[in-house]
Amino acid sequence: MAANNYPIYSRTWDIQLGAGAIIGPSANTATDGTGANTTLIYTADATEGGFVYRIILKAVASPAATCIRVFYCSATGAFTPGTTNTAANTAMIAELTTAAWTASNSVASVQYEIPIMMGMPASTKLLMTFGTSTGAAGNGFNPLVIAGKY
Amino acid sequence: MRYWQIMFDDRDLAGKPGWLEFDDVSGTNRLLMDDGTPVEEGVSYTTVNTNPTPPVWSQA
Repeated sequence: MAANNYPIYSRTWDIQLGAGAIIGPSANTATDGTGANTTLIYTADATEGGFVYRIILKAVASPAATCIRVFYCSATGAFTPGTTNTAANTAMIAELTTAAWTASNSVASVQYEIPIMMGMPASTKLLMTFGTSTGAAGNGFNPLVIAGKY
Repeated sequence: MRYWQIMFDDRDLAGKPGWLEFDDVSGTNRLLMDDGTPVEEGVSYTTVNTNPTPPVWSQA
């Protein structure tokens, strides 16, 4: 018999500002989840875990075209890019192609959303990489993760 | 072809310069070592200059 027959809901929203910085100029061509230029964008609640609904991406400045990759990482401790994320504990779950964008104050940039819809065990993580550099420093994306804490 | 100067950030290439080559006709790009040798393995890099003088070997 299943341990739980009832649906569970988030007790509070958990909106995480990805890296809290513009990412993209530093890229990573690896698709196995490894590499130094891998950014931690979400960590599930340390006690009960969480549920991630989606990731929102809007261009910052004028990013070049790229392929954005999202990885699930089962490591639960502190995260050190290039060290914590190994092929054994990290796997790609989504990719998104984004077009080049030139900053404008009269035309809105494309809004990209990556649906995740996945429960996350306590302290596990979502990581993000960019397959091609988005250009000079200051041009890229600052991902916003929409999630809830169990 | 169009080129950006980059610096590799990890693996055995860490700290070495390289190039990101854009083929605007096909819409593809590839990573190259400073001498023009293609880099096939997954690697991290950071763009250093998006408007450099193209590498000498690209003009041969």
